[in-house]
Amino acid sequence: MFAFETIFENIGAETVSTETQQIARGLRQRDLALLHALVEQYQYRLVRYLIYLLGRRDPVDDLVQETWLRVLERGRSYDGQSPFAPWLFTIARNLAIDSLRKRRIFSLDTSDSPDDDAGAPGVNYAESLALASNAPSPFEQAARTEDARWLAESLETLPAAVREALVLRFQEDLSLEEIAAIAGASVSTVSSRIYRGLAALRAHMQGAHHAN
Amino acid sequence: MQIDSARHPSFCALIDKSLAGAATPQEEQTLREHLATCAPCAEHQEATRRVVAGLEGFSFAPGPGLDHQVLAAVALRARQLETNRVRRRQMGWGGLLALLLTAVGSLAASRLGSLAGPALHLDPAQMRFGLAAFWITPSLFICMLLLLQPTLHAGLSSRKGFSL
Repeated sequence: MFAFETIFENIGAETVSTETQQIARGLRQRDLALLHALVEQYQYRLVRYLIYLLGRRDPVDDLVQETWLRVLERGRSYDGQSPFAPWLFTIARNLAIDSLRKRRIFSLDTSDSPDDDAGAPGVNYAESLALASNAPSPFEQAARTEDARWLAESLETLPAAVREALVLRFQEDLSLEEIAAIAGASVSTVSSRIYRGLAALRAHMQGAHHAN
Repeated sequence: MQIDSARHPSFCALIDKSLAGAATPQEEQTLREHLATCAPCAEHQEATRRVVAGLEGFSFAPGPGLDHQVLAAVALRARQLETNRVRRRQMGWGGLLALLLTAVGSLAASRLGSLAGPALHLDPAQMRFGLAAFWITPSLFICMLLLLQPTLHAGLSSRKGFSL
């Protein structure tokens, strides 16, 4: 049984490896057909990641476009040894931080949590990122189920780093190590962000159920 | 329904740890055994799973036309990059050719100077100075400019950012 599992795991890993190597080769050659396929495959996930990261919808389209242009330009730096999605999200994250830094709505000086790594290249996802208007948040707009509507209220109040950890862990199914690499934080910091997020969302949901 | 998570806080924490993918196999086993006998903790796990499942209830559809816009921008940028690549290559070859001509020209001018100097009653030191000032130095400057031009251009472009 164990041997079979190992074999299947190896086959799965080889398939992923072959796929990522094909992507790396295509990016080195600036293969437009490959880029079109990647855009189709990853666009939804990229949009979702950026909305979770920023808690806003308006800058996302521009950032998505800049991310793909950066993929085209810097494609040679993707080695194909690791999955493509974390590399893509890292680019998107850096662009989002640059974009927000230009608008001076947050700095890198402070961290979002006392347990964060000092000096980590994270973001002060200060509440300056929170929606200033009364317009429905992107989470409220995107909620399709009753539970999602309850979660939406809580998600917009969470620090962006926590939302980022949640989406990468539970939507993208990335490992803690992969999330840590994207967020430029330690694994323990990422874990604690996930615990904080789960606790906040759970409490909010239980409160909502209790109120009903 | 409020769950009594304070009853077994360590196991409640372990449930989150397990969902986060941070629990060891030993901890997973301990948690499984505990959940089989502890209803409040099983409810806590169910509530947490419901939160995670609730995250699936969002639909973040990309804006209308975003794919088309992105693909058009990517195609345009690819053409720009290809044009720049060809230009850089041409500049590189031009620079190397200029370097070669400078070396050959300097050698020829030096030979010619040594032959023509006595006939024109010029001092060899003056000949060498004239050669260096009016041929070798300007030629090398142009060579360097051609060879470094792609780097200078790239630096200026990156400061300008994307210009789509």
